[in-house]
Amino acid sequence: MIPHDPGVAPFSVRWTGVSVTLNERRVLRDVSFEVLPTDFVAVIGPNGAGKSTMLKAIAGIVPLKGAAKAGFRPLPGLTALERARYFSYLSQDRDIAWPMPVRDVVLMGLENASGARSRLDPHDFQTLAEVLWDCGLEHMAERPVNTLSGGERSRVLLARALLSPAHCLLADEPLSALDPAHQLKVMELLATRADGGRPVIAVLHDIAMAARFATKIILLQRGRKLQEGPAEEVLLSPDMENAFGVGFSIYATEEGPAVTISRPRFQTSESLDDDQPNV
Amino acid sequence: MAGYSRAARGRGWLTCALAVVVLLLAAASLLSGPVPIPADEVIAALVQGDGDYAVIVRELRAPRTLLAVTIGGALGLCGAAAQALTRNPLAEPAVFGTPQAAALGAVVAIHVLGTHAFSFVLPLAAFLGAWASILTLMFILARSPSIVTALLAGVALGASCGAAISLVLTLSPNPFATSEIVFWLMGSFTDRSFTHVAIALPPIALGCLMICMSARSYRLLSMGEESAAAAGVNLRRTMLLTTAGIGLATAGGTAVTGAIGFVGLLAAHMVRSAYDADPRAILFPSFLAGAALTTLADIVARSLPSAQEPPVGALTAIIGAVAFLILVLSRRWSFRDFPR
Repeated sequence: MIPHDPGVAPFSVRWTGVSVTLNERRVLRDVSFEVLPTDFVAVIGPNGAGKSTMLKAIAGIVPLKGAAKAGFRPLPGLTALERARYFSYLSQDRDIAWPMPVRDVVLMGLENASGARSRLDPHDFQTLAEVLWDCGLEHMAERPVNTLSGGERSRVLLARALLSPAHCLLADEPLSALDPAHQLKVMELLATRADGGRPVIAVLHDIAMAARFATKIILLQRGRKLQEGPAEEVLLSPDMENAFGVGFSIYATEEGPAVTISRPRFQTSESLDDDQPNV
Repeated sequence: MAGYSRAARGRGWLTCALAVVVLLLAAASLLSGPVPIPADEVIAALVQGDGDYAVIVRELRAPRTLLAVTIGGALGLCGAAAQALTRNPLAEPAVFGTPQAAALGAVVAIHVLGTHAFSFVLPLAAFLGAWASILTLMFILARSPSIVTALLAGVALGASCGAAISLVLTLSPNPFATSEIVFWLMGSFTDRSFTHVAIALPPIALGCLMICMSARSYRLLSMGEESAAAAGVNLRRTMLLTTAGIGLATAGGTAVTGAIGFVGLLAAHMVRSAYDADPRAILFPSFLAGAALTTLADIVARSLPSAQEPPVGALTAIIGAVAFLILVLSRRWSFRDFPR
């Protein structure tokens, strides 16, 4: 069960004409989108499209230009602590510097820079136990994280992000290093969370998973938004082939949509390198 | 999750045990020295300020013990903070270059003033050197606030100060000055008074306070700078407070005792596994471990049968290196525990 505060206010994210420049290079250009309270948004696009930068900009850890709102408040005006209360962020970096027990790493989800919750109440422990169970970590709560495999460590950090009471979850490649069973489980967790009124924005490379679970897909290429909409609409658009350089076919199955990749299209090195942001 | 509370209670008892060890070592330090003094005389001298040994206890041993505990503790705390900030188990206070800069200031003072430098001038010269390095580091970090920048700038400052010290040694006016410089560089608590305590304590206290103010962020920083920033950590503030705090605290110690090596690196490693490797929880235990290690080294230095008391910095390095190797070779802890 996903921890869900029934009293949580509906929360949305809205960008209008937002650009992000890093190291004098424009990584995102004039991006607009809207995320509603029950949205599970998959951000897709080829390598270097600006997906991770978009998530970081939403989280407020890279500066942006344009009109970006978290709820009804302008994103650039928020303090670091306010942003942390709005957004829980799962980074692509899965390293944890010290061999702390899994339990302590996950409990960092209840912590922000204003200080750890030195006294955890029984409800916190109940929520922790639920998140550990959801992520399949209940039998390794006491193990140091350095003894875990890459996939297990990935689930530990996802559990930390899920434990956070923040409104919106930003997950950068939450399925990386996971086996198929856990990929499915994680996508179900994220979908359930979004369905409960706490939106999820996830960068995904697995188009099939995005098609099956996301309520909305945002397609990026070279820092520009090409498409935004329901999965069928975005995945069947010609922009998919333009962005990825391969064709996608979608089939309906009993388990949900299945996606195949076909006909790799030849690309010159010039077309690949042309103004490609390095992110 | 009963294990969590049990672990927290266990940590509390361990911290208390460490504090008791430091107190016992401090008591042993007051009893140690070339003149054997009974314990009741030491207590009488400390409490009432009279007796045959009052001068020895109050003027020689008490400031020495106080300096060993506070400077050793500060080095332990600074080492834990440096490792937490850089996410690197090999970091130590000297990684930001302040002790080397303080040593350069002192070495220049000895070179220019000779024996006249051994009063207020020497600590002040060391402070000038330390402040110059702290301000340089702050100036660089204000322009490019990142932990990698702090590390690179600190290493560059330390290396340039080390080279300058070698140059001053080479240009030393006489062998006596060279000998004094080398002895000072190795660190010692010999003949330190409450004047030295008064010089060292304020910057050490301020530095430790600054580290404690930024300590809330250390646990979140273990996930990396981006995740910490997303969790509400003000990276610039944390970095400036920690590096300046480490600079101040180590400068205070180096200014009055010279360079004492290895304590900053070792103390955090001595306590890390007992505190579940929590970078915030090990701060105070690292202070206690550093205090215990330095006080023990000072007791050993005074107890060795030699004509001249060996520098405590050399002993901390020897004791520390052996303890470090034991830790590395033990099955409880190894560098394989840390991600590459």
